[in-house]
Formats: sequence, structure tokens, C-alpha cells
Amino acid sequence: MEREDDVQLIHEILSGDEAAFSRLIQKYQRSVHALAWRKIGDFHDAEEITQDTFLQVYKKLSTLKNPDQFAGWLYVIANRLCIAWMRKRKSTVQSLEETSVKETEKSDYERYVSEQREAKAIERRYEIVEKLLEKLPESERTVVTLYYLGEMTLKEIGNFLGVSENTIASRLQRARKRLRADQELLIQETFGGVQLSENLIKNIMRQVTDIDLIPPTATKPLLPWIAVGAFTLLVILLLGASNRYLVRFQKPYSFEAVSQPTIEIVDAPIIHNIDSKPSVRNQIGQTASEDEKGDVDPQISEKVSTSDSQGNSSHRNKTIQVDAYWAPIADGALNSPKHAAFFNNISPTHPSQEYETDAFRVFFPKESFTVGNLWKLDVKKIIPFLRQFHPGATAEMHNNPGTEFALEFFGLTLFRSGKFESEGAYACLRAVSPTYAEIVFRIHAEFLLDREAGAYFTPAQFTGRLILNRKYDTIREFWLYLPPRNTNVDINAHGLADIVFVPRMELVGRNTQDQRDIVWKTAITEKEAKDLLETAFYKFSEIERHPIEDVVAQAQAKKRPIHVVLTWGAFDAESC
Amino acid sequence: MRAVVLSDSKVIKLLNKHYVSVFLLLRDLPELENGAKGDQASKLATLVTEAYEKTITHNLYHSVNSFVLSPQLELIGHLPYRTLNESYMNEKGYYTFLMDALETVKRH
Repeated sequence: MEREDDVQLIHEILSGDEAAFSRLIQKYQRSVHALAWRKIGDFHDAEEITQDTFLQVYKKLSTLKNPDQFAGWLYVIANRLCIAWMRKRKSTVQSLEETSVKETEKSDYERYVSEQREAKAIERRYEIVEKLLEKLPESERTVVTLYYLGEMTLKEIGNFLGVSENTIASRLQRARKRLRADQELLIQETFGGVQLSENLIKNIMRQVTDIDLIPPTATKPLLPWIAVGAFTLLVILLLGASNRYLVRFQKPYSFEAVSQPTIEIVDAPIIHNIDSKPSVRNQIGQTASEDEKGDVDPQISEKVSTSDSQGNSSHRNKTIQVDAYWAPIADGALNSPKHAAFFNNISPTHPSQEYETDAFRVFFPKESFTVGNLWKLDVKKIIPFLRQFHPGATAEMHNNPGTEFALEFFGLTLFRSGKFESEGAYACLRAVSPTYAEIVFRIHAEFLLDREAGAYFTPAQFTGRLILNRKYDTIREFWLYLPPRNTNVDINAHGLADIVFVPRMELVGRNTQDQRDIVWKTAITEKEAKDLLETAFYKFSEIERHPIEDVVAQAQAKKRPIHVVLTWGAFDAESC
Repeated sequence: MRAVVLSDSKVIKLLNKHYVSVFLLLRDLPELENGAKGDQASKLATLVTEAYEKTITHNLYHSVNSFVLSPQLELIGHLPYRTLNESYMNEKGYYTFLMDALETVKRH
């Protein structure tokens, strides 16, 4: 059946035809629900958001200046309601730290009971589908969801997400390549079988009859002024209070952003009674995670229960072994200082070292954070990790003399006030599951190899991730590494400098007893996390940078000149 | 340059509004010239290399160089960062450089 034209439908609705509004809901309800479900992860609450979205649409329809862009406008309204839902949920989330074990168990039990609403068989299927979808990058996952669950055409998805139809087609094609044919069929069948509440349209239409539609004429609104005022206030509050989130939504990547529930990862308590865990919630966006299945690692749980029964805190003494790797410089110019002895025989001072779990707390935030949030790290407290490579590790970059720095050229020196922007360390909460949290970090530090010779080894950056097991207060994985770009270390000695390539420099620690697959409940991509970290260091990253293969076509299409910055070292790193 | 000139809000705004920006590594230029990223990228890389090498022949090495090219790939401006022309060593100077180049492109 050919879908009705939005413009015509809107015209009929504004003329007072309520049946037309019912058809508009019919046309878009699955899309809105699919979007809300993906963002907030709860099927039933997503239905409520769908309902509220269409009520808002009805109230504000006459304010829509361009009915051609209805789909995009609808998307914005649905998105905002999702954000409001998440904010509301956030405010009600109690810190686990402040919640007694008894309360935790009670709340877990209540959650368990409420989750029984979902039929087991369907849940299992959703679990499989969700796992399949997790294989896809977020951008492709959203397209697949809207295509099969939302039953939208490529053009409609493009309009909805504000990107071209070709882009949507490419994303769908890429997703199909990643999935086997039978997997795609399973997604198609599972999503195709999803039935929204039959009362959804009826509920909306019942409430719509109590709403006076704003007439299309801007000069004579029929809605009572008090209602207009209240609604305006609501919009202002939404825009103001959630500005941080709206900004994210306005960026291209954020259109695919997933929900951002608050998570406490600071001093998360150990769950004392693992047997009282609630059952699995097998629903899109709320997929079961490893430990919720009761499939806990006996060794870890034994340690925890032993320490608890003794009333001590021996769990804090758990250690993790971290191995260090530091490969030699792989290239460099002929007159490079790399030929100096300092750089010829580099190897880790401590190839292997044990760290207590508490040592990693320097990477944790001091307050509640949501996925996608950044916080500053105390880089001086991270330096002990880097001393595993070399005792000369320092947070004070030699090219950063503090509150003043010099610009020198051909004998003329200018002093400017202010610090370089590049010192320090930041972290970002990338992903959470009920059991785990992943922190991605970026550190700027260097190694003073020989003070007299002015020998410095300055990595472009250290990045990495820390995955902590929140339930057992242990570290599952710690990985700190020098990204292997073709120029990634600046070296200086005896007045000479070079930018060189070091293929491997990393610290790796893994808890071998805790290596089951993780199903992230909420996550941003690794690239998104790293981009966010880059912006924390460098304001210049606000400049829109285009890939070299696209730049000429972009310039010609936009009739703009090309601005090229050519550098010896990566501009977004300390090797430059 | 990264911390001062290219971190200036006015410069960033001008670049995002009126330019298409690309950041290149010197060591990637030969591969780009050989067509690793297509013909257009190859032409751009060749132009940039030629302009950069002119500064080397005068025994001037600059770790950061800025260029402005027209959409038709004509070289409009080249600014080695550590240039003798100190007026470009600050954000105001760089803004002027970009504005001048923009005017030149428009006149083309």
C-alpha cells in the first residue's frame, strides 16, 4: 500500500480531520517506537514515549513551517522526549553506594517480577537479535532497526535521521555484508513480529479529542494562553536544562547515540549475595549480561564471599599483572638523534609488574557519570604506571615551560602568556553493562632519558582502556598503548630532533578469571570516545577536517577554497 | 600554531564557514601523489609538495605549513609557519591571511 503524502495528511489534520491524524500515527508509530526502544531500551516505556510524541505533534503541528520536513521534525520531538525520559530516570537512580544490601535485593526482586511480563520465548529471540545487532556499528544498527522494526523505506530513514538516502543505503548494505543471510532473516522475522499495543492509537486519539489544535494562522492561536505559556516553559526547560544532550543530538554522530543512563562507578559496592540476582531481561537494549545469568566465576565469588564473611576488605588487595612492551624505533632521518645511545637500547624497566586494584582508582571519576561524559585525570598519579617503561616518566612536557611560552624564529623571540593546551590526561566513560564499565583514556606524558643531553622521548599520546568489574570491584582489563600511527614519537637529544615511528609500546593487564563476553547495555563507539577526548585537549579540533579523498569534491560542490595544513608530525598529538 | 592560531575562535569560525579544511602529514605526500587516494587527491598533493619544496630550496624548513587552494586547485597562498613575515605569527595575522586568500579566490 502506498503511503500517504505527509503534506496532504498535515493539511487535512489542520483542517480538523482527526481520522487523518490517526493515519499519520499509523504511518509513523513503528518508526518512533523503534527509535525510542533503541534509545531507552524499554519496550513499554518506548510505547509511552511514542504516545507522548504524537500528542506533542498534534499540539504543535501548526507551528511546523515546512510540512515536507515532517519526518525530521518528528524525530527531533521523539529524541527530546527520550532525553527527558532519561533525565527523569537519572534523577530517580539512587547511588548504589547509598543503598543497603537489603534494599538492593528488594529492588532487584521487584525488577525481576516486572520483567516477567515479557514472554520467555520472545525474550530469547530478542536476545539473539540484540546480539546480532551488537555486531554492527551504531550507525548501521539504527538503520537496520528502523528498516525492519520501523518498516521505513530508505528515503524515509534518510529524512528521519537527516542524512542522504545513499548514505542509508550504504549503511544497510554494509550491515547486510556483516550479517549472514540467515541472521538477517532472523532480524527481519523477529522485528516483523513485534506488535505494538493495539490501544496505542486509540489512547492517543482519545487524548487528542481533549486538545485544541493550534490553527495554522500564526496570528490567532486558539490554545489558551496559559497552556501556551506552560508549554513554552516546558520547551525552554527542555532546551536549557538538557542543552548538553541536545548539543550532542545536533552533531551528526549523535543521531545514532544510544541512551545514557546514569551509572555509579565510584566505589561500587560488592554484591554480597550473588544468588539473589534477578532474572535476565532479554529485550532489545536491555540484553542480559554475563553475570546476571547467575553464571558467575566461582573463583572470584569465593574470594569475595570469603573476605566478606570475615568482615575485612581483602578484595581491595586483589592484584593484576601488567606486562610492558616497548619496541625499538623503526625509522628516522639520517641525522636523527635516534642514533644516540639513549634511543638505541630502549626496553621496559619492569617488563612485568603487579598492581593492586586500588592503584587503578586514579582512572575513576569522582562523581556519577553517564556514557559519553569526560573527566580530567590527575596525570601525576598516572605517572607510576609509565615508570614501568622508564623511571624518567614525567607529566611535565619539556616543550611546555608553564604559564609562559616562547615563540622563536630566526633569533626573534616573542613571549605569550597562557599555557599550552596539551598537558594532562582525560577519561571518558565509553560503555556500561550491569556488571562492567569501560573507561577510555588519553594521557600526554613523556620520558626524560638524560637530562644533560636533553634527551626526551615524547609519545604522541598514550591511549587505552580500563574495564572494571563493578560487582567484584576488580579490574578485568587494563590496556595502555601508543597508537601505531606512522609518526608517533618526538625525540630530542643534543639539540637534534626527529619524529619517528615506534611500532609497539604498551602496558597490558588482564584478569584471566574474568574473560566472558560482555554485552554492553549502553555504549558509544571507541572512535566517538576518542574524538571526545581529543576535543578535551585541542580546541583546534573544532575545525571541521575532511578526508583527503573527499576534499576537492567538497570544495567544488560548496564553491569554497581549500585550506591545507601540512605538518611533519600528527597535528592532533604530541609528536608534532 | 595549534595552540594559538588554530585554536582561535574567530579563525575556527572562518574556516568552518568559508573553507574546506584538510590536514596532511608530510610523509604521506609521496603516496598521495602516486594516487593512493584518487586523482584529485594526487593533484592536490603534487601542488602542495611543489610549494613546500620551494621553501626547502631556500634552506628553510618548516614543521608546519598552511596553504590555500582554489576549488579548481590553483595555489592561492602558502604560509610556512616559522616565516620571516611575523605578522602572520598570531591569530590576527592568520585570520588576515585567510581573508585575503578568500578575496583572491572570489576574484578568480
